[in-house]
Amino acid sequence: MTSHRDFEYISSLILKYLKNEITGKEQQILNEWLKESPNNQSLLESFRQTSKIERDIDQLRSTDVDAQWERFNANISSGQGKKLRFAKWWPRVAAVLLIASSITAYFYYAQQKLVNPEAVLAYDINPGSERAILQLADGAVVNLGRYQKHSDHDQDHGFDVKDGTLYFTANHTKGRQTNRHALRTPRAGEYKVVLPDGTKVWLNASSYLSFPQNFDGNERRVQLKGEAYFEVAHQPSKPFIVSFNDTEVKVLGTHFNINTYGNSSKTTLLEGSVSISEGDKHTLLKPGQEAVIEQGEISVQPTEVYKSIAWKEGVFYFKEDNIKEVLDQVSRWYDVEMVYHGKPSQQAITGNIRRQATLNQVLEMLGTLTNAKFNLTDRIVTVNFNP
Amino acid sequence: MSKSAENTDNFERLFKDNYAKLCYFAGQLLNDSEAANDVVQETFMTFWNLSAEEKQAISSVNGFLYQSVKNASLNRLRRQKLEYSYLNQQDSEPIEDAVALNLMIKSEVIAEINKVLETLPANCQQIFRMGYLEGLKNHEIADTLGISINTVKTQKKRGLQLLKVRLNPDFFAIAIFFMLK
Repeated sequence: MTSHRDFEYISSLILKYLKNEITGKEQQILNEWLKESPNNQSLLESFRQTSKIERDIDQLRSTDVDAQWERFNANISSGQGKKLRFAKWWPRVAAVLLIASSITAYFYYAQQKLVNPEAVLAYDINPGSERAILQLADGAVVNLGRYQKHSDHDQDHGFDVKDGTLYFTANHTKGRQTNRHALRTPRAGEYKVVLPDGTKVWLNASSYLSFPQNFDGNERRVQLKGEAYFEVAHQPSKPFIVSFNDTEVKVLGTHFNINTYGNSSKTTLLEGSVSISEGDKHTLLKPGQEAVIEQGEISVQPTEVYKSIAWKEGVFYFKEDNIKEVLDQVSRWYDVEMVYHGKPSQQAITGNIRRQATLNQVLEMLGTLTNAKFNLTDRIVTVNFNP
Repeated sequence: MSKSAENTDNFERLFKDNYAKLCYFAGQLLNDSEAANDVVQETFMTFWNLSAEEKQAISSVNGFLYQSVKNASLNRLRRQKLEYSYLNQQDSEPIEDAVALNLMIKSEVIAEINKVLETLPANCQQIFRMGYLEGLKNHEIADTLGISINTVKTQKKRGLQLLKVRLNPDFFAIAIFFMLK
């Protein structure tokens, strides 16, 4: 058996082998190691499977090393030197579920006698993160990636990127109302932007927001696809208008969420007031109400507002939702495809889990809440409603 | 315990060079990224708190870090098992040394492959990232960047040629997959 000392040596031989730099003598040593166990062979084999490598690299890159370094420094300077109090073990029911799920997975795989090193590794998918693509009015494109570590300042275009937020500055004079920037989030991405008038917008996954370089007309007009939460800066003389589908939402200064995924749209008001027009129909929303627009018809009802903004607070919050709605959200945030078998139950789902959980953790939770069975392979989740 | 500025710089480099791969390793054992981060943080804190003599006695810092992460992860799994006694009904075996060793090798190799992929030239990086990280197809990249599909393909090809110089075919297949997906 390979000793603990020489795992580094074997790693270096494998890398030389992969890079085609291995000498005859080294190849012999590598061959001996391969003969020791079928696990060793399958490990080497796994480096040729691009889909596996892709997942592994994705996982490796998901760690924010700078943030962890700051956390480490904070722990040193707070004098926790020798004794650390890191994890709070019993914070929430969700956490308990998560831990239980990882143990279950561990035992499940442990039971399989560890035939193959791959078998011990539950395939999992990391959650979405702060990612977006900014297309500027002049055609330039900026990739706002999750690996962007330093802050970015672009004087010509009048924007800054700091801590995962995009800031546009108001006193940029070159632009005209007709020149529009566009911010686009991919699946498994989200981003926050502060518009030139100070309005804050949180853009959820798979969404699109376009807005003028300068709000210099008599109104502030933006276009939305997908989902966004707005905190509009108060400017009584210049209404702020969000247009999506055939709908316009007009406000002076207020907080609201708009969700246009799927066939209907949902506008939820937290503060202030908004007016909604769809064709020749108009309605006014009060805080705590939501307007659902489906096939040109507006209906207004009271709602629990937290449910519609939980996403921007980093939480999946389900309250009497049907399973397909829940899985649509999961599919967008983890960028996976759902394949359904059987008839979905009508059972309402209530529960919450942090959006930084891995996909398996979320599926584990949904598995305990419903009768459905989930199976994850190659970014496809097979959902069996009648196992 | 006094730490000179030079020590601190070295330590920061050690931390930043090794954190992600150790976290990946712990994640493979624990299947929980938050717990993995906790374990790696604890490991670096342990290392930080070692005396100069203790550090001298370590023949391979890399090996020491891996071994500490492994032990801490297994301890954590055992602790969880006790806290959730109902799960004891299931027969379980501890993770074998051989499996942990192979995971160490895997983490080392994956970290190196990642380094090579990160050496792509800057002008290929954006297209590479959009193609791989954002999962966009050629025509989507072309649309978003306002450039032709041919330019996207040319950029990808240039990146591939550069990679090909230093990589053998097996490795090349991985790179191609990342570029052309």
